[in-house]
Amino acid sequence: MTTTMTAKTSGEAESVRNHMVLMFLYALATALFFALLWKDERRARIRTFLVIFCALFLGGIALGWAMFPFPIR
Amino acid sequence: MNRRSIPAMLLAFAVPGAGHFYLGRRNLAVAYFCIVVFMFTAGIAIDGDLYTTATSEGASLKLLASFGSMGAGLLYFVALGLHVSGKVISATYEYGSTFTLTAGLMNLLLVLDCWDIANGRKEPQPTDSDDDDDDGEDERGG
Repeated sequence: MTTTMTAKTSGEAESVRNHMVLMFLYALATALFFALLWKDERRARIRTFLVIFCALFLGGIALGWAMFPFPIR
Repeated sequence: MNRRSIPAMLLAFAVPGAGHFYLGRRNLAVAYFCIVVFMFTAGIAIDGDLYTTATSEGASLKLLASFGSMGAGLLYFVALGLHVSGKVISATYEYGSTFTLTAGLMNLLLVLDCWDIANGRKEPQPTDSDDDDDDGEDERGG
């Protein structure tokens, strides 16, 4: 499974185009958004943030590995 | 229906967080603004594309994605006016398009949240200092 893909523009590797980094940023923003939207108290927000972030980021990695035995040909 | 509902929703649609700012949730407004704008601009920056009705070619899912992306309000229409387009050959094209779509969908949720807040369906937040003047009573307009 390819866990990282880096686009090279003008010969330079751009770390921000690493898919893992992008997945991390997406999970971060989404988890933060819903934690603020759904919860009012600080502790509840932190808990919600962690649950959603882990589900998205770690879940994405887990799904990737689960699909590893079935490559696209 | 509270008379502040419609202005709040229109503001929320136009500018992420503006509706919440209008309703007194200023800290949240700033946070929502930062998150949605970050998602949208990051999507454009990594060569993502805007879903538009013109390019959907009648495909149902792309059409839905267009309406979802429009949820970003002025961000979307300004980007459209600037003829922002993604690079299909870029490795992050799909990711970027997803970022912009998500930003639009997030803002649509904020619009609905403004409706709930304006109509008293959400408790005033105890941690928000701007709510100190609230009398704590629900506003249930008809």
